[in-house]
Amino acid sequence: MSDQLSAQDLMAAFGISLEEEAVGEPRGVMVIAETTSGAVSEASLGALGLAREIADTFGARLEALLIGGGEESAQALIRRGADAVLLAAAPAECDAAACSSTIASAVQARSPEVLLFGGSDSARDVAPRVAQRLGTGLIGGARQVRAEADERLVVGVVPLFGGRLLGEFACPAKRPQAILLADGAGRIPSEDASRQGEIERLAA
Amino acid sequence: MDFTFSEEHEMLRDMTRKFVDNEVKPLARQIDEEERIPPELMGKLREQGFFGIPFSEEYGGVGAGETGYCIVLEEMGRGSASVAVLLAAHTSIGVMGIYLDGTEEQKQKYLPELCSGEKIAAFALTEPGAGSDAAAIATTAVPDGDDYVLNGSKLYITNGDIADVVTVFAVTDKGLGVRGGITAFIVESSMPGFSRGPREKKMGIRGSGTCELFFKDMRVPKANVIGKIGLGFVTAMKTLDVGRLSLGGACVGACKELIDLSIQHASQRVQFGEPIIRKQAIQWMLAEMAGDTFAMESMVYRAAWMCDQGIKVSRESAIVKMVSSETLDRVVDKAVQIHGGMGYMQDYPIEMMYRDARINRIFEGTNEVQRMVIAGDLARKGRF
Amino acid sequence: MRIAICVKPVPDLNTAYVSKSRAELVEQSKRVPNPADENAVAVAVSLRTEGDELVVFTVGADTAVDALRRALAMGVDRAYLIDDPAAQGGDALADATVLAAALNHAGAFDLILCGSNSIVANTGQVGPRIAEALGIPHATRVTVVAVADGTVAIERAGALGAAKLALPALLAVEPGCNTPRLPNAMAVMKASKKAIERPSVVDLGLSPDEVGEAGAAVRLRVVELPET
Repeated sequence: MSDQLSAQDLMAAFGISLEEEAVGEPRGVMVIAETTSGAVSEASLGALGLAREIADTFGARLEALLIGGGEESAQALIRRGADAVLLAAAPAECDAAACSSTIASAVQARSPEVLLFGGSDSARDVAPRVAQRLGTGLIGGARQVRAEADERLVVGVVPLFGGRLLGEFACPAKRPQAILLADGAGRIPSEDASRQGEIERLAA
Repeated sequence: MDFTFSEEHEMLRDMTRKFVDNEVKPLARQIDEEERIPPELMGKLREQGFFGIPFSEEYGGVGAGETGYCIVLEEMGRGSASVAVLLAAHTSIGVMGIYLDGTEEQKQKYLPELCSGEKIAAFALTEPGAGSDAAAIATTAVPDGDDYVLNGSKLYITNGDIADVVTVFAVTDKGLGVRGGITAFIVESSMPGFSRGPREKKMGIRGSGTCELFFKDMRVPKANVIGKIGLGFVTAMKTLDVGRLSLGGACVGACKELIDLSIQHASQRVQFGEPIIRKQAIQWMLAEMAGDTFAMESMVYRAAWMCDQGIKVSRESAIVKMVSSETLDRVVDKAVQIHGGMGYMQDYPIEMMYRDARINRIFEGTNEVQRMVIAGDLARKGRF
Repeated sequence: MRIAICVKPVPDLNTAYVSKSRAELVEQSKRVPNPADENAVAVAVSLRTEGDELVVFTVGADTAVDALRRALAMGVDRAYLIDDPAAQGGDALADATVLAAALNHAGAFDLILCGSNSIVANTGQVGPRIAEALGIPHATRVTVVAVADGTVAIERAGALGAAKLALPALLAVEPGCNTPRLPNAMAVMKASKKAIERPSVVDLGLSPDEVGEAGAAVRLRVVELPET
């Protein structure tokens, strides 16, 4: 947990309220967790591992948005590093438009500064729609990510021209900085049964 | 002076190159060995519109002009001289006479099917007793009612084995000879009295069909006379003037391909401790091949441009034909030498290209005839 | 039906090479249509029936014209080239914004096709982004397409399986899902006469800060050689 007070915290402390527009800066890392056959997918667990590293570097909270999973999956995410889990019902036939709508609403409600997706066909279907809805950038196909503390920036390394070159991309201004990992680029974290965290059900 | 090709010409080249790489090159050796172009490939050539490249869209052609046509032949020349010659004999001389001197009715009747490749054309001037001395032809055409009756034979006619429509030159007035005595006719292979001899077995361009044509009391309607009666020789010369140019195009393609193959070979062949491309003897050969080819290419496309502008190109096309065929012979000879033993083996395309090249100095008017044309023009004009 | 295809001009990897000293791709020939986008054009052409109109859209400079002409030679009727300098150098967000605006500007389309990913960075964002901007359903990695009665039935590569979408919809097609036919000589000559419209960013109702480099959210900071 971070000792840093956000601008919002400070202003609240001094009783200064701001106009609706000037909300406090986005904070926190959100990772999208998909389920396959009732359990959190490996790709999502891999993304969780990297999300935890980013959160630790920034001193930020890590929330997992779990699509279509229940208590058990939520607990699994907490054991593996999430500070909190938001449960969202999966639209009956997870069509990309409905899914991305769900995710975008959650992002708008929670204002994370970083949004991470594990690499999968469904994530590639959904993440770009989410990013367009939010008017933000998406670093896609990242083989590696690197969190830069002073700038609070996540740099994604992406193969270019079929791997002939590598590009380092970042999203300096728009928020959240969305990253979609390449398949298998995550790092599945180990379980820590002692970890505690909040589970919240998102309003439909 | 803008030396760039137009967008459509670049696209035409690109498309033809891809076609040749995918459909022609893989069959080149088979075409040489089996001495025929497979029907499936003929079908694809038709589909791609290769039989009507220079002709106006008004008559079912592609409308790419002489420049577009030289581009297509250049790319074909990289893959198979037999295929290039099939297209060239059909287009440059087979159809060209009708296109240049035919009546509107004749053009509407014959050109659409010829441009689509449904029907194949040939040009029949040469006879056993009349090669370079084309004026010595003996095939006769005697008027009878609404027809002319043709008797005689033609020799070494390219596409003769498959042609449906043949431009035939016959004597209508022996006394007048070249000036006023020869007439050009559109002959259909279905006309009674038309027959073909067996295909010749040749040194090269073995996939291209060459044979004799025989006319026995063959009736050809008067409506099928091209241009004016007695002025057939003018049609023949006009047609050959344009036709010779495109031969240069095919030679350019063959030279470029030979250079590319030679560079590849020399870069891989290691002797005396290094790739032979590092040896001066080879470098000199490649440099000369490149110099020759650049000159040839520049000349061909300049002449094609002149042709497309409507400028008469008699001397220029004779020069193009003479210089291109002699250049190709030098380039292919060096290519064989660079490849060494491999240049002699049928495992590689070089020996086939060597055999294919030799005809260029002979057909479409021997290089001796070209020299006569050039010198005659120089003498007439009194200067270059 | 009105069918739109989005085509991205990309370096020709058959002739380009990597300069080790400058860590950059050196292009040696004209830009070509992204292969998966060519597959998308081929799908559009195969779906075409009497009276349909096919329009291709590209963001690029004059170097994109060749790629457009190739799409036109494959059977597309006309082209939109957004060559406004303000629209160049954008990321997926900026490009999708421009393309969606251009699609709207050109009228309603029943079907929008594009490649599922490009040979540049292979991330496949622009198709889904355009669909979001237009508020229509989309599918990626599409391999088979059949249109009937205002819906499109598709098959997809990978984990996603078959589906049915209501039109209008956007389909991002899998590279290699078909073999585009070589245009014939007649189509090549016709292509050079087909119209290429060049609307400006202002014509499309956008402001310069939404598009191009100014509108890009993601920046490329460094290009390096791969490790091995």
